[in-house]
This record gives sequence, C-alpha cells and structure tokens, in this order.
Amino acid sequence: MTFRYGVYGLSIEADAPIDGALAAAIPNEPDLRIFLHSMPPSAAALYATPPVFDDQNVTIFLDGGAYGFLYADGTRFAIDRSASTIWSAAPPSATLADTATYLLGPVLAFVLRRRGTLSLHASAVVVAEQAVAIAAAPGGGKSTTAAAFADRGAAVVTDDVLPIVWRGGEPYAEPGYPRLRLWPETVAARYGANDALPLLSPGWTKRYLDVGARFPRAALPLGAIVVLRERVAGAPRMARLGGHEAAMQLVANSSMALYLDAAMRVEELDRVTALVERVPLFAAWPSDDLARVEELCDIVAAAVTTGALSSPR
Amino acid sequence: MKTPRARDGVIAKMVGTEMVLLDYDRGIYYGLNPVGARVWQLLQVGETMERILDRLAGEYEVTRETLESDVATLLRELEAKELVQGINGTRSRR
Repeated sequence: MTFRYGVYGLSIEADAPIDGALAAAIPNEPDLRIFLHSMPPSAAALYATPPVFDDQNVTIFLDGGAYGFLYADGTRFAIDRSASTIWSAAPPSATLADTATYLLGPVLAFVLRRRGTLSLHASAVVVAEQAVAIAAAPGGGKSTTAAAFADRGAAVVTDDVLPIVWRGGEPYAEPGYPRLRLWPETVAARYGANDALPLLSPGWTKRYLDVGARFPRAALPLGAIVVLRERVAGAPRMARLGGHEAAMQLVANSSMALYLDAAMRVEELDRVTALVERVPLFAAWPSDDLARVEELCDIVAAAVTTGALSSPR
Repeated sequence: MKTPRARDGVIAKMVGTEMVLLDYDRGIYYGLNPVGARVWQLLQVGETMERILDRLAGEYEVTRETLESDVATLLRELEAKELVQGINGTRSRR
C-alpha cells in the first residue's frame, strides 16, 4: 500500500502514512519516494564515513553524493544522490509521528536544497491574496506570529520551511503542510493552557495548531518577506531593508545552508539577489510582551496591503 | 600600487546600487555599499588605481584626499578577508 502527498511543491509517495502531511492526487512518477521503515543496502557504508557535520542534535554523513542523517534519538534518514528517494529507520521507542516531525522539517528542507530550490527558514501566511514570509532564527517567533495571523482568519502557507519557486519571472511560495508547531508557553499564552492543543507526538514538547481549514493547495505569489529580529521592550516596529543588507538577511535565513557545496552557494546567491529585486523585505522587532504580537500583525498587514514602509532605508 | 583582482572563489552580485560578495569555498558573504561596489566593478574591468580614483572623483562629490584614504581602507579590508589578490604584488595566502 502506498500513501500520496503534496508537500512543499513536491509530489511524494510513501510506504506508510506521514503524520500531518496533506494527501494529494499526484502523478504516477512522484518527485520523491519515501520508505519509512527501511534503509538502502548502501547505508552501512554511508554511516561508516567520517561525519561532514555534527552537533548535539544531528550528525550528517556523505558518501558518493548520498547523505545520511543520524538524530540524537537514533532516528536515521538516508537521501540518495538525486534527492529523489528517502529511506528512514527509527528506534523501537519512536512513533511514525516522531519520524514525520523530522521528515517534514529539516529532512525535506535539505531535500529541497539538494534539488536546487531555495527555501527560507520561515513561516508564511496569506495577506491580501499574497504569501507573506515570516523568517527568523529558531525560537525567534515566526510560528507564534503565524498563529496570531491564523487566529484572525489568515490562511497559513507553511510553518518552518518556505520553498520559493519562480513562475513567469515572479517568485511564488509553495505550501508546506497544514500545521503550526508551537512551544507550550506560546500555546498557554494564546489558548489558555499548555495542553490546549495536541502534542506533535508523545515524545515532543511542541504542540500543533491545525490550520487545515484555510490551507492553500497551490503556490501563491510571494508579496513580502519579514525577518524577525530580537524582541524589544514596548511596541513592535518594522523597517524596510534594501541592497546588500536585504540579500544577506535572506542568506542568513535560508534553510539548511550549512550543508551547501560551493556550486550550490553560487546558485543560492543568484536566487537570493533575484528575490531581493522582486520582493520587498522588512526587518521587524517583535515586542517582548507576547500579547503585543497582534500589533505586529497589524503593522505587517498594513505594510503589505497599503505599501507603507515602501522605501528601502 | 598594483591593481588587485578578485581572488578565484569569490563572486559578486549587484543588488540595486550595492553589492554582495560571496567567498563560495568558505561560504562567507560580505556586503559592499554603492561606492565599494563601484570600486569592485572598476577593479574587475582592469582599471588602474589612478583611473579608479579619477572615475570616482568624477562621480562623487568628495576630495581626492578622502577618496584615496577611503579606497585604500577598502582595499586593505578586502585583502585582509582574502577577497582580492595582487595588492602591492602580494598573492593570496590560499
């Protein structure tokens, strides 16, 4: 039995359900095949190579163009040279929901980059029929801001990974999957209690907001990019960025950039500069008072709908 | 002073009137303001330092002395970051 999904603009065929992904009718030849309970014969050699990246969360291996990810809890992913097949194996204690949490986040972000798609480390919401990207460092408030937009009726395009594709010379935002992952303190602040929303999986502390009701099925024009900076006391504020500062903000907020090789970095620079030429980019300083995220939403929505703050500083 | 050139492994892209430099082997990005971007462009088309200073003097309202000082500072920074080679006959350490 196979399961078919559309995530980040990729058609996916999997041998087991992917928790959280949106089922879709896809072509006979999918972009990506995922085996959730098996590893390729080459995996032993792959994981025996010296790591190319290692931190407290993940170790990455590279052998003959194939990549191996080993997470701290023992979950493994192998990605073939063409980034068209993923295999995974998880420890007995892990559930399919645990595996899906890695898969829909960093693993597919990496696959997108290997396939040549620029993706930002960003949430995105729909404002005035355009996607607005909200980029930030981990813990920087992008999902919280997206949740605030969702609560006022905006569709959510993606939570953490925003692939950008070009059509007719214009950038479009590809939808991810219809969930926002939120820290328990954000859940408590917005919805009244830590357990007001379901857990992503029993082993994780993050919870999720189901945004399926208004989730877009197709890519949307990318109308603006907002990069969240450090929290400030008092009211949130926002400023337009331009030139090299804007380009470097995008580079800093691109997904999985650590693992790009030289040729991919050159390609990335082309894509980032093209994006800066086409899409207004803003820096925003959220308030350290979580309740004031609504004011930030107002500022972002006004900038997008009225063209305010339109001059790069 | 010998005219420096971009080191192999460094590429430049204009963003409006500014420029982003990428040292792609190391994965490090740098930004140049409009004047820095103009100096880089002129270096890359093979202009001599004298010609570069003449061109900039015609394009910006600034004294020759300030211009020489600013361009010398920029070139020192570019060399320190190994983005150019050939200043005073030096070679990149890489």
